[in-house]
Amino acid sequence: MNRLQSLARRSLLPILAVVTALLLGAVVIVITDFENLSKLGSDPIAALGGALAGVGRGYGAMLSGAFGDPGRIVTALQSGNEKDIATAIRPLTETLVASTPLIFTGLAVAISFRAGMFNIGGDGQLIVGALGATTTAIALQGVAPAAVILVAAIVVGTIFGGAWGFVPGFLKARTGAHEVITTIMLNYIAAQVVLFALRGDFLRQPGGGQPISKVMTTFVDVPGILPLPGIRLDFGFVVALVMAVVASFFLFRTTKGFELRSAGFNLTAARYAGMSAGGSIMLAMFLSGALAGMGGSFMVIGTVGQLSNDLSGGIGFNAIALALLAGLRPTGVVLAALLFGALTTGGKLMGIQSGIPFDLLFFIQALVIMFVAAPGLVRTIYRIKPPKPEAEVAA
Amino acid sequence: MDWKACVAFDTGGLGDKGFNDLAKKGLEDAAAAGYETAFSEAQGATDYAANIQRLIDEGCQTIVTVGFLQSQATADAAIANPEVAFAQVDTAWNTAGPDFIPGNEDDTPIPPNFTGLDYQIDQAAMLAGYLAAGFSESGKIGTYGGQQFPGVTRFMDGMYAGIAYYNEQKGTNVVLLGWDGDSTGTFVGGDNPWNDPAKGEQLAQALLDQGVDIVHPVAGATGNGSIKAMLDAGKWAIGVDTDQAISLAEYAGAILTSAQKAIDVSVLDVIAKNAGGNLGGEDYSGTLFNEGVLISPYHEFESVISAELQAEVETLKDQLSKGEISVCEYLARGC
Repeated sequence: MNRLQSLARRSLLPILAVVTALLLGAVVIVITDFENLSKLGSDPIAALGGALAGVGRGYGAMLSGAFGDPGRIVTALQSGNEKDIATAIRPLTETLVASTPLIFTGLAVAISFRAGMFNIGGDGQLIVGALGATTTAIALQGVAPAAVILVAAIVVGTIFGGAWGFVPGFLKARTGAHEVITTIMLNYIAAQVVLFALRGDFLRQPGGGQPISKVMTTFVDVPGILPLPGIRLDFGFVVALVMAVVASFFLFRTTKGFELRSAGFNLTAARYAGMSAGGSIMLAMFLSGALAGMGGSFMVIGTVGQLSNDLSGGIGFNAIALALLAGLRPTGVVLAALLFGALTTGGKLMGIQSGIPFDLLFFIQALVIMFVAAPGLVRTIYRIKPPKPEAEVAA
Repeated sequence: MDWKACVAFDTGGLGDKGFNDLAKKGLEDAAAAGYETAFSEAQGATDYAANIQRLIDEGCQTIVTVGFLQSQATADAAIANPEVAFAQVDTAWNTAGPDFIPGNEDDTPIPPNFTGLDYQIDQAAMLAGYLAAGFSESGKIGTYGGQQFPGVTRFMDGMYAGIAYYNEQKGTNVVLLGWDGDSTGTFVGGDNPWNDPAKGEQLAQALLDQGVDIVHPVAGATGNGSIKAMLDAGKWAIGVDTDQAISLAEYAGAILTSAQKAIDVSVLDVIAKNAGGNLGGEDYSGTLFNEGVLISPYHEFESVISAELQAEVETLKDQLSKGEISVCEYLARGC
């Protein structure tokens, strides 16, 4: 089977999962449209038509919120007016901005899961990484040039995140403490550590006592990709793509990567084959935390410019979902992160334009995960034959 | 009316029956008054600037942001979009610039298109504190906050000052547990400080065990659990942000009054002001004098609270309005 066919085959179930989830989302929009439903008795056709029009408006807003309006983009490009171009392409760039931390954390989850480690601690690792980056940047303010601050902050943030991920890896390898419990608990500890750090004068924004850090954009900022006003897309996105390539190479083309995956397949067999399974677990968790920490660092130094304890907003948990959707493959993670980025960005505009609460997106995302986790369900709905066992191994 | 008014909420979220919902009510009142409206919700810190930008792109002419987490995003947007009017709930403009040190080159005067909506809630809370001190049978009043934010401790300051003033006037020794009038007190903390009613019940029970008979929780929906516990114990509570005897009608039997911010009124006011051509340039400060802060009607307790105590609260309100008394005079840390 050639690569294209195998890719199409692998993508079929996730795509059907997304389509099914969106259809069920539409059903929810209809049955919660009380204004139209109240007319069901008197004028059923108008009521249903109105409700379906609501779905169209909602999903239409989601599409234009995620990708922009093609006609408007063309007109703006022809006009050459910077501000018009920025406004027209902003939905698209915002989708990429939203995808960036999802790529980092999605890769983080993929690597740990490949080693058999169910890392639920992406949120904690992300925010501890962000704390490391923020502390470094503020410590170096006025001491070093902006470029040095930028690199140092990202490196330290990555190491902080890695260290935070290493702890549950170490505990698992040495004591057998289950990583699901330790990573979840470390999320809580991370949140408190960050709040505590934000109470001190060193990081905290002066003038109010509120737990938010000083604004860093005045002295360090990840450079933007497009020189347009109000476009936040920066080189963090490019680094995220590079990391996906690196992660893919590491997992599938290096000995360490093979050992790591072997530990995930069968710990006992890996040990029997003379591999250091404990070492693989610790390495996987360090790399996982480091990727999440790098993602957090790019958020605080780049798009947000400030540390607060609501930085992540559940990205670490969404990452688990999208990594599973991606079949734990780095290329898949990038595609799934773009999809989730588009859903969340589009969902925001859907909320503003149509009043359909953003919470519907959680519902849709949860359904996507459910369908991916239970492939039999989608196969049954669409009457797809299960793949032959050898095809699964080859993939 | 040809004016589009919008609200950008932070991650605190709608449905708190307090702060955020009050801003929402202000927007709904604006819609009822004929304005075009829209609002956005945020899931994390990356959403703030993006949501404000979306509202601008949607043609919003007044954008009200809620919560201190959005301060920087709001300030940046106000400077970058001089044709759009901005207002922020619970914030005053920071004239000292990003370094917060006044008197240097990054100082930024308030832009002509910004209105900070700030509330001197300690004034209203002081009235509630005085009332509580006069009403308490055990002479012990309790308070706690969700997290130690200035917007929270301002309520607790007011309670402290009201009780201290009562003691000074009457020679009594009513005490406040949970806040020392300076910088130390009880806070819920944890990962869910604002939305944990069960925890609120426990905290109220702990205070009841220490002999407290009136509690003033400043912790969103967590505090609602405390009010329930006080009702179950046949004791009382002081509400927060909104008239909780109405928003939490099922617990009205325990709610003496609430220290209230008229956020909904000021949101509607600022929208009307903007639509009239005045885009801002001056912060609004809600006081007892301009009725931006107030204590709620006593409802069921109208006939229970002695006429004498009610009259004394009225007198204190007068004195605070006229500036004859200030809250900080009665704080442990002073002015």
